[in-house]
Amino acid sequence: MFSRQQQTTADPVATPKKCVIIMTHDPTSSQLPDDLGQIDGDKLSADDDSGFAVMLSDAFDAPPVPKTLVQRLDDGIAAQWGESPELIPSRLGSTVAAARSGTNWLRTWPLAAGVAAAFMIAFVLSSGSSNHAWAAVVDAIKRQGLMQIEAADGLRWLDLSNLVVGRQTESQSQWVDVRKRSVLTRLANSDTVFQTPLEIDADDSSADLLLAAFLLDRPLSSETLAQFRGITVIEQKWNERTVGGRDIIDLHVRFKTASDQPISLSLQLDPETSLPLAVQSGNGDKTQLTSLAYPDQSLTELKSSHFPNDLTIVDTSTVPVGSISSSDDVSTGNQTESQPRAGANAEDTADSKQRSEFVDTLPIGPAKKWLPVAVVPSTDAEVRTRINTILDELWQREEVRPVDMATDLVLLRRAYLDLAGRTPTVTEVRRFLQDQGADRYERLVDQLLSSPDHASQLAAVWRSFLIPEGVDLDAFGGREAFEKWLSDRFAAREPYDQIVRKLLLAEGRLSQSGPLLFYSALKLDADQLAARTSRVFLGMRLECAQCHDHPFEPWTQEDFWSYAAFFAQISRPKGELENVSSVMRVSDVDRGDVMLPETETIVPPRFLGQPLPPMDGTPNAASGNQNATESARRQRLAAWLTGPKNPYFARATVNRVWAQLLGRGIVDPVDDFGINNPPVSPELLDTLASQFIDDGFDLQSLIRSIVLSNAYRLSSGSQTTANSDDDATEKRLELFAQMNVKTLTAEQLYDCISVATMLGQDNAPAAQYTLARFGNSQRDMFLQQFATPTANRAEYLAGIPQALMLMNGSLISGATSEQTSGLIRSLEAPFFTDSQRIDVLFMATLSRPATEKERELLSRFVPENASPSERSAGLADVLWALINSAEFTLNH
Amino acid sequence: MSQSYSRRRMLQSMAAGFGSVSASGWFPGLAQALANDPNRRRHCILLWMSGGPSQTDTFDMKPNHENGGEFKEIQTAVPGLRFSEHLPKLAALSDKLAIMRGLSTKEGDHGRGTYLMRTGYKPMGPIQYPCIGSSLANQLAEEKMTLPSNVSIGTYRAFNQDAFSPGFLGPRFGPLFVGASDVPGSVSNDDDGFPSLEVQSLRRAAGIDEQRMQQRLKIWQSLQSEFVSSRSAGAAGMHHEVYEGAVRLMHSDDAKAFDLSQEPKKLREAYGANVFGQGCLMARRLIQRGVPFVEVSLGTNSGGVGWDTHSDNFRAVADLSKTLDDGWGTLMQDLQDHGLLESTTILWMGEFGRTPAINPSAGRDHFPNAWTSVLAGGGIAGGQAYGKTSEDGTNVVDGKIGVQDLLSTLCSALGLGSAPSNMSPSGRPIPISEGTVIKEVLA
Repeated sequence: MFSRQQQTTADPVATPKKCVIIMTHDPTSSQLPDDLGQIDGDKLSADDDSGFAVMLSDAFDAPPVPKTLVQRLDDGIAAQWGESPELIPSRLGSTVAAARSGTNWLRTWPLAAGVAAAFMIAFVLSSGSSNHAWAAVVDAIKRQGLMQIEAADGLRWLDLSNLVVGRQTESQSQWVDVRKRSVLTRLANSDTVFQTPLEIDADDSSADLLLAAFLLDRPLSSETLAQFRGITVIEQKWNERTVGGRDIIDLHVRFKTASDQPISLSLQLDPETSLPLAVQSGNGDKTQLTSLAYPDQSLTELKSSHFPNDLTIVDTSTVPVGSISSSDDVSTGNQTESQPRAGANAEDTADSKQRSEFVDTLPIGPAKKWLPVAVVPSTDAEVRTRINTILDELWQREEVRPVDMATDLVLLRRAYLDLAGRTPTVTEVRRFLQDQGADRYERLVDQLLSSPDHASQLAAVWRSFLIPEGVDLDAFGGREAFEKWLSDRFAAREPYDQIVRKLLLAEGRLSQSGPLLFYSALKLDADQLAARTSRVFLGMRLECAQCHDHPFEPWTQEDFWSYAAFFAQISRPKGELENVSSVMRVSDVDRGDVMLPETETIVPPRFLGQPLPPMDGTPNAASGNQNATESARRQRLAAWLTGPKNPYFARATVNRVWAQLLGRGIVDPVDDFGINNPPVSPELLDTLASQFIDDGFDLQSLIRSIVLSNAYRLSSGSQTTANSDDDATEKRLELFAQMNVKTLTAEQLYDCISVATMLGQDNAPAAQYTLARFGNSQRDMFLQQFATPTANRAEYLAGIPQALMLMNGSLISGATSEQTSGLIRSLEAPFFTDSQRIDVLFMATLSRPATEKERELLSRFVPENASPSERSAGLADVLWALINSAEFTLNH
Repeated sequence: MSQSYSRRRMLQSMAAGFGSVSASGWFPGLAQALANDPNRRRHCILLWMSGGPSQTDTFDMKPNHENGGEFKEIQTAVPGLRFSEHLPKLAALSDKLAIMRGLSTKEGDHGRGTYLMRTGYKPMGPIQYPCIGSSLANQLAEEKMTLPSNVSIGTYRAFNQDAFSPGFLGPRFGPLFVGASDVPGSVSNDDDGFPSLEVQSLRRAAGIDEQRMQQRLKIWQSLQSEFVSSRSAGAAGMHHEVYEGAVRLMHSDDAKAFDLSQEPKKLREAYGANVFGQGCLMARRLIQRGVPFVEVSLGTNSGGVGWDTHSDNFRAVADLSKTLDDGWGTLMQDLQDHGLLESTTILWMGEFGRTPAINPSAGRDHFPNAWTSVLAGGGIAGGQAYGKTSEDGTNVVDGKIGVQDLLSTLCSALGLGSAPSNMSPSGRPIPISEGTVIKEVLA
């Protein structure tokens, strides 16, 4: 599947000479497999000799490095390259060499030294008499004044000496002054200019950063600034060549940021002025150029032509910022522009425009053609009202009568299960009952969202999305290590897009666990990674198009493979891996391609829903190339996938969260977006998605909006006879006019049993109760035995074995027996009445006191005149029955 | 013969019969449909070889080729049909076996291959396909059974949980797992040295007598009724249904089928003192009591590689063959002695075969391109090999079939016609398989 792609130099004039880099090595160092991984990734994995790849992967499994390995490597390379690099030289095996052409590596050298060093080794290149280094380019641009790019969506300017960036599109103009820290935005033909502050650190105003961001077509937003923070050159290479009788210089620069994100840039320079003529995008022979111009206008002239002085300036600094920049990201090749956050004065005009745009962009029809979510900035309260209104209107239209609202006590249990993954303790139920405040449910939700149990519950949910069942991960730290990593992210309330980027861009040895477990579980396989990420992050079962065009949706086989191509350039041994080894590394390399199955057709990377690249080589956003020439494919994918303009990411995420909480998705199944499976309400989907983007991908505030909505607060039962008709019930459940009953996961079930029966606790729980989810062997055992297939949560998928286990198994019999149950023993105290005792059992299991009817019924089994031991036995029977009841086992 | 039961209808009838623990007659309509079927009371046993068994060292030997390996061929009861020397009992019964030597599939990964072979479909798309056991249980189940319709013994599910699931058919047709080999410690040896295969937790917990159990169930009933009756359409209804099945099983006389101590020690020994052998014996006991589908696994278990013989293939396959031969051979004989072989079709297969070429670790690797499965017993024309592989065993040269053909042939042998369908929850008929029936191997 992976094949070697020949990198050809476009220009025959300048044939780069070979430059051999020697990486010295201490053979005793345990680092050896590490570097072997790199060699493998850089060079060898892409080769056709699978035997050699197998040999290498075998070698990974055998640290410390066997003495024969270097010899075998030597032989392998000799077989591959026709000559031996002589890895076993006279000085005992201390060098490992790899050949590279036309590249020099100046790892981590500061810029000045880099320039100097570039001179020192310039002899290996065919040109290099003048200074073409990045620093010179920066200087030249500063001297020049205004630089202009004509992009597909409008014009962009940069004045590097004054640190000003401007932009004009059909719908608006924007002016960012870094020194003044201000952003001016003007809608097309509007007489109002909105002024917002630019949040920026002093360190972020470097010319390097601004220029790189500008050339890569990144919006000047706090996100970009954060991403590019601490940008330093780590490598530059260049060629001189002649095009149409004119000399030009190709300059390729690779940067590193403070957060270790690689960024790269390719420019065509004028050798005379050192000014960039064009910025290049694309790889190999599919490069595209975007021309750069240097208008004669002065900065002041330019500004006054777009922002005349007589316009009204509305200062929106009282409104929370961050949305202008985030809603304005054009780096993903979007077609529409969204509006800046309007100040109070401008709300009317802006709002009507937003509404119409909102409707235009609703996700209806083939997913291939969906537009990005129109972000309508709203307060949480507005979003909640809107969710309720949309559903009210939907129910009216569909002539569905919603069931009654659930009681606060039902909500208490529901919220605990959904947000903390467990039922409340008796103390927690009591505390809630004593709270008479009208907003006690709202406060409960906030308290739960900030609890540690919430982070670990959310982690368990996301782990189940991301890691397929049946994969043995013990060698890499196990599922638990992945959950722990996720849990830490959620606990720190990291934005979801950032978490996803960390996951997609994870680098390092597989043994380092954390996000790398995702790669371990999917065996570093481009097609597996493509299938899983498209399901979880984009809501689509793209893998249906793996072998042939999608049977139901307009996705072609090429769509699948061009998406999978983004994962093709990860270092890994060639071919299908039976097992991955913990010493393997995940890192980006510059080789590796995917081919259409049973063909030799290499499929280049292309974002989903983007058109095929035009044949004439004009700039095209489809592969993200115009932004980040030669930057790693995964980088480009991560930027596109998690960007606010991605038409799928936010929608798929809010839909998943909705389904998790409501029992079924707005699009259901949640990973089956498309024309054949339309959303129950596209407006609902986009209202949530808009808020999610507007809030900076904050999962917790999304969850909060949903659990405070009316739909979430509806009862799961339909009591009246008029409502008992099957079809009507089914319709209510589909339209969220009745809460779906959800099956507890094995994890939730264990945790509930544990909380209810006070497993492993000596006494009444502390005021702040937190579950021990990690490192609990009894829990692991239970999970293993209770394992059920992952599927629709609205179905009960456990079978007879699990029912028998809960009825007769040792865990439950211990937890409910009058001799051993902590809960039953705690009820022996003489100050309880029998009815109080029964209430405690009910609160512990069902999170509510018993009803009159139940109390009366149970008094037969726990009679008043019973001896203490008879009473305990009766209570144990009641507890057993409660734990085995549907009401306990389900989230209703 | 497809059952036109939607899940909803099923739950309705469940809800109607709600209130009695010993529920009877959930499916009067189904019983009628079955009564009209001349082929009722058919059974299927799947011998599932987890890890992927080597065809070259069992049923498709290549003695004259370097790929052939260490084992010798032996003659079987059928002239010209030869098996490995390590399968003598099966060789003696070869007139009842149809060796399908032309199986060719495309999934070489344990998880994906397991799903493909056990459901007939690739693991993708919106449908959760039922495993073949659940599909056949749905087709063959009878109304008045207190035993589950689908029992799976010694199962190793970790390669792909979904491949052992009833899928859209729901928990009623989900397998009852006995002695699952993916749950550590679920099988121990009894006093006689046999593995104690039992339905876990089938017996009441220690210290709970029957009277108290009934007391508990009464409380449970009363607590359950109000909640379930207002929510019968989903998980609550299914929960109740599963519990009723479990309670019925606990009190079923037929649950004695799981008690192997009632069998003569000599017979137990003939089956082999291991999970597979005792599982085969249990399969016979279950078939005898009307269970339509039983699966017995041999191969991968927790901590073992089973048939996944990437190294030291020959020693491992010799051992596995002995276990296989004792269990399966005795099972065929025993079924025949009980007059059950005619109505019981046996399918032997794993998730894929193994490379004919022997690797440097004296092992064989995954190989889906040309491999073997075996059909035997009721409805099968035994004593033949169908399909042929090349000299070196790497390609099918004649009688190439895929998983759908194999399953269609199995369905035909079970009297279900060539393309029986299950009804999906949305009321759409979904075929179990749509392959070509290999008429040559049907009796």
